[in-house]
Amino acid sequence: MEQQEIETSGLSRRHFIQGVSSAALAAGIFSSSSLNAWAASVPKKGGTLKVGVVGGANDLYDANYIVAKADQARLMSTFETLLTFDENFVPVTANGLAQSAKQNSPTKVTVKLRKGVKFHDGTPMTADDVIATYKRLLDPSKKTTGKPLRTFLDPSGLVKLDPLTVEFNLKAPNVDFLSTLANYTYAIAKAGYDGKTQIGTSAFSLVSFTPGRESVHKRFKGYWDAKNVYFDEVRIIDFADKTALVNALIAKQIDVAVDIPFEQFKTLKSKKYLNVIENSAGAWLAFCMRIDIKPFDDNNVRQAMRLLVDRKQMLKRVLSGHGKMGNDLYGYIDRNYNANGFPQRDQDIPAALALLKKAGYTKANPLRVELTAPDDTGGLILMIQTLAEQAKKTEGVVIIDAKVIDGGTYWSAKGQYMNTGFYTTYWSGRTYLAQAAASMDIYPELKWPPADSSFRADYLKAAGTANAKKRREIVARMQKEEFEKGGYIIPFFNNFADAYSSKVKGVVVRPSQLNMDYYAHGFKNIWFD
Amino acid sequence: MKASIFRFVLKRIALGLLTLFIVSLLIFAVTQALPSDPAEAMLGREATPETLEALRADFGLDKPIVVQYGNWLFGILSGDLGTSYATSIPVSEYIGPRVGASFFLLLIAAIGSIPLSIVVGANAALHRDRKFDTASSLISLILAAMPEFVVGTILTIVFSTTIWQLLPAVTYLEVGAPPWSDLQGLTLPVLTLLLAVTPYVARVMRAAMVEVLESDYVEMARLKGMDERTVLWRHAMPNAVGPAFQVIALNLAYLAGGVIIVERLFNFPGIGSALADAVRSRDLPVIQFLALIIAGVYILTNLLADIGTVLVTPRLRTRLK
Repeated sequence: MEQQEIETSGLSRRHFIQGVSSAALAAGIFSSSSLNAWAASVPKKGGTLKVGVVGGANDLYDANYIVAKADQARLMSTFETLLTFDENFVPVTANGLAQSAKQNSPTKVTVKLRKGVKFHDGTPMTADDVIATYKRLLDPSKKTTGKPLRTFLDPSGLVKLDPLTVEFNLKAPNVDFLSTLANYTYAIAKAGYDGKTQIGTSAFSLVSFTPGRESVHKRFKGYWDAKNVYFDEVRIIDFADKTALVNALIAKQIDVAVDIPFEQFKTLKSKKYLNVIENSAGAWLAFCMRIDIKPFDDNNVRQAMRLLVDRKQMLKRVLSGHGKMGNDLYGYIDRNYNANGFPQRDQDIPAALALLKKAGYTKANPLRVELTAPDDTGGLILMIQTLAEQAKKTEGVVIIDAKVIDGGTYWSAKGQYMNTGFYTTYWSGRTYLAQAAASMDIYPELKWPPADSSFRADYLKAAGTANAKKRREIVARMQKEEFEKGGYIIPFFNNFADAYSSKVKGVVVRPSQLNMDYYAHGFKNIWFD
Repeated sequence: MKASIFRFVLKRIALGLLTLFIVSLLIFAVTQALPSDPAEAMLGREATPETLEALRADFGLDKPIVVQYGNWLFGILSGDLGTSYATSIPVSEYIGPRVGASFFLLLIAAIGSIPLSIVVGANAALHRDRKFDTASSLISLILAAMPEFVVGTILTIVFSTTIWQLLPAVTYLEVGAPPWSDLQGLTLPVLTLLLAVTPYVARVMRAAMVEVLESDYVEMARLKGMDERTVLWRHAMPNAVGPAFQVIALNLAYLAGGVIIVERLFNFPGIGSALADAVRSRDLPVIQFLALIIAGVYILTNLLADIGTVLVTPRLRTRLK
């Protein structure tokens, strides 16, 4: 049996500092140490970093529950996870609270904690805090993102071996459990945490928070990695609107603008005093067709819809080209993405019409269907409008009625999301099996898999298979079924972009799930020139 | 006469309170008709039956609608505005500073725009069909035709981002700081509001002034040999200002709502963004309170305009006796 084991190794191999040309890197001109010396201004202490991000009264502040980017920024500046991801989405201990983590078997993981880690109130972090955090995540009455965890972990599986060692005994096999420990919303809070008093272990402790306005964070003197913390203070400032956010950056009122609109990408890039970085981490937007609701219970219709999409045009129109074309398969960051090597699917109207005819839809008997998107998620509105327009190429065989719904309604328990046949969704980047589990059981958007399918059995088998080659074979089988019969239309994987003042140094550019490379892991590792 | 004006004002205030009550009933009814409740809107796709139930109990949504409304009304009457669902902060603490900031913005815009529009309008009328009149008419027509977010965006492009970088693009108020602590940051929002309101009032003022200047009593005054200044300020102005008051009031009332867009553009921490957020998350206590405030501004400005009109219009003043 192969074992996955991680030891503290500091920075990972491809730790790019921005400014080094990728050509130089590809040619292997710089060794890692000379690279740092070349790009780095000498780190300096001091200053207040002003970070602008879209937020509002609905701002959340919680170690284990977030919705918007503003919430992510605040979570990351206050709390830390056991592990983090490197640029290949392999879990590592860098910037994490674990000294080491080891998967002993598909159902057992041991985590040794760093020595000398303190909470913002001065108390030491121990195994008790880790167990309390995971118990909170497993508690269905608590408002957390722990839902996915509950399928393979029970509170009774959490065992304290000594004050700095925790054992996770899983009730269902999961060979990729170390990735779970790197989930940024599974951040460690102090035992007894109620989601109200924000005491974490990060580089900056919270001074004040006013929802919809700003939060102020000051440098924490007892931080375990204090040598890599430079700012005296960080302010995370809410903007109601992205235009105002970008304007404030241009007018030099803030230092960082998180998640800029792609339309502004070129304008901001042309300013000498600003840097713009772009990140691809396998996040995706998709159309969902529920396989148990008419007309999508007929696979001919699902496949026809997939062939209707002009993905190139959609990528250009919705993301201004800032993304990668999708092939109705998820798990872009996974080593086993498109394990079968399926060719790129593209618009094929004659093939779509033939499939629709098989399903009984013709000009005389057209397929008329409503497609919805919420008004609060960037890109989805443009996506449904574009698809409705592209469907016109069927000359009246498929008529899509695109409808924008208020977000509060759309996502609610009785809303369009998950309750209708044809709607839209968004996901951040995940590995293949984690996403398969989430889409099957946590948010059953498609009611996948079909009753006669071996998909679920294959999933359980893959999750318990440590041998990489064997696992890839199973995953390939699962992906084949989804490619041929699935209910997702995944037109693209979307990038995201940030802009910041060029006086901010040390910003790392590499694939990461969150903006600004995980908000610079709580705004450490970066400084003012 | 004083007593009669007092009675008039009292009557209007009573009517205003009745209007507020009806507004609160309407808002409550409308929010009940929305397809998702605050708990669902807040939890979104992370909701579990357990968390939904807990949150509903927290907000008191498990009680009958009449009881919910009664509790809210009783709270308001006893000075308790309730607690915001979304922020878990008492409404007074959350919205109070924002109301103050928005009010300050509105006040500066009003103080600037009222004399400005009256002077521009009156001058245009005095120099009818001459250069000043033509120019001011053209400019005010252009400005009146542009929505305030266009005006604001142009101002931002010109003064803070693209052409010159002279003024801040957004207002940045530290939490707890009064709105006048960032005067530079206030410049563009105030200017936007000023440009949004002034043209209308100036045009109405000009029209009214033209009419008055052609009237018999102004001609009479001139024939009596009064100097032009006295004719203008004593005889013409008071009669022309009456209609202008009405328009000013309507405009300020409109601004109480329209300020939302300007606030968003300049990230001004006022009631605008709070209202948009509150509607999204079905934050009923906040929606109710802000609706009352905005309706209250409407009622109050109209009342002030009516009183002002009565006081400056001799005909109406005498009728009240």
